[in-house]
Amino acid sequence: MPNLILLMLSKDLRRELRSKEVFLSSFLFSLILLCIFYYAATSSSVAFEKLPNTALWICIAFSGTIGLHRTHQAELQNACYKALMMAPRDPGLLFLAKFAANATLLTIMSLLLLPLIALFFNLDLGSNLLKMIPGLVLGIAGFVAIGTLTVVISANTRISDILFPIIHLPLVVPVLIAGVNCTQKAMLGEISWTGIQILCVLNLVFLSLGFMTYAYLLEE
Amino acid sequence: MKTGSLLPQTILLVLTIATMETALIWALQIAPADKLQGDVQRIFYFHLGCIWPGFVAFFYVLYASIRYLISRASKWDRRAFASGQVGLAFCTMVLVTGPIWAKPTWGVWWAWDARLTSTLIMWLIFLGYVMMRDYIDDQKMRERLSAVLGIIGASMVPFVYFSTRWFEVQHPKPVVMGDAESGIKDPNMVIALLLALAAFTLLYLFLWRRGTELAEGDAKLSELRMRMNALEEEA
Repeated sequence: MPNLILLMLSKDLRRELRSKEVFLSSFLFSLILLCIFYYAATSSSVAFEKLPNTALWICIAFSGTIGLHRTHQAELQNACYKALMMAPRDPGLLFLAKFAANATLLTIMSLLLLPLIALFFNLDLGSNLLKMIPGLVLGIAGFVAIGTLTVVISANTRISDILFPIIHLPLVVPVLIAGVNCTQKAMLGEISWTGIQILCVLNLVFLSLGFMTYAYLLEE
Repeated sequence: MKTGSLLPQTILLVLTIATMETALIWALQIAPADKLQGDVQRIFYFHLGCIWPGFVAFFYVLYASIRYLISRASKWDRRAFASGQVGLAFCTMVLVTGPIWAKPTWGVWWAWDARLTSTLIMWLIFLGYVMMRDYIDDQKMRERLSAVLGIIGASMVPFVYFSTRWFEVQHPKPVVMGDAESGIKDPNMVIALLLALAAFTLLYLFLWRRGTELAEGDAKLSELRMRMNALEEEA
């Protein structure tokens, strides 16, 4: 099992290192979102400096959605996904492997986004950075676990690019609520144990659901 | 077993109309007006009456979707889909009656109240579930993917419901007449609420059965068309 996950992870990371298309597009999209966020906040007389956490999760939600969709689309080219489906492995393990690869990419992007958010919002992350990590990583894991399933579901429809966010985003609302709460508390120097516990339960449920149902998504 | 064989559709319809009429009379005439909110509180009986069958509908989607994946019998897919559609309609009614109640009570149409927010998210989840089916041509794939999405969506309902309450730190308090004394205490109010719950549950059953029958008729029609096309090709 760890072998398969490592293989898939290294494959996806290598492909991303070569093409950089998912990472670059998601990261640049986040940067644009931050600019829009500034003008939207200041023109409505909301204190922009008080919204770093909101901006962080909006970037994760939108860039993550774009990234997940693009990663899956890239896999469909040259029938790569069909080859994966034919692999003599438990489909549940394939789900865990795809989840690990997607979660790693989004976590790296979010960690690179943090210094930018600290810069734009005059935020002193300093000692609070470590307190942010559990909420951020668990939140991203939950977001990606559901996304890894819904991206396959929507890819089989005629309007996959439109349908994916419509299906995916409402399902991840509990994760976003808990994640936002965790990182907000962390920015104030506290740890939201309730949020972390909820995120752990949500991740357990999402990963179990994915592990059990992924086989049905791969059928031809 | 045929869907319509358990209880004739007409008996269910008559029962639904009778219970709905009684609930209307009890809620609008017999039950007293709320001391603080006045007559606007009466919408509550129908607002709450709609959310209960909404939840039942979504949990039935979960059950029928699991049954579909186990048996691969299309009837379970049709039952799940009919339940999802009816659940979506009930959620829509909750979202319409909620703001009508909120405006005179809280002073705003929408207040990001946990109850309204969780219903909106559930509505969006099942809108995606119902919408998705229109964009998959292959019938077996449509059934299979709908079942998986139905399981994921319905499993999320409790989390959506509770997550909006766990972190309700910024929950806006009622702007107008938000006193703790408002609530159901009068026995006639309890009867009106129970009647509304019964009426909407019967309405859910009626609509679900109708939806399932329609879907079954549709499936039979498609099968006949396919056979006819095959015969024409042979000829």
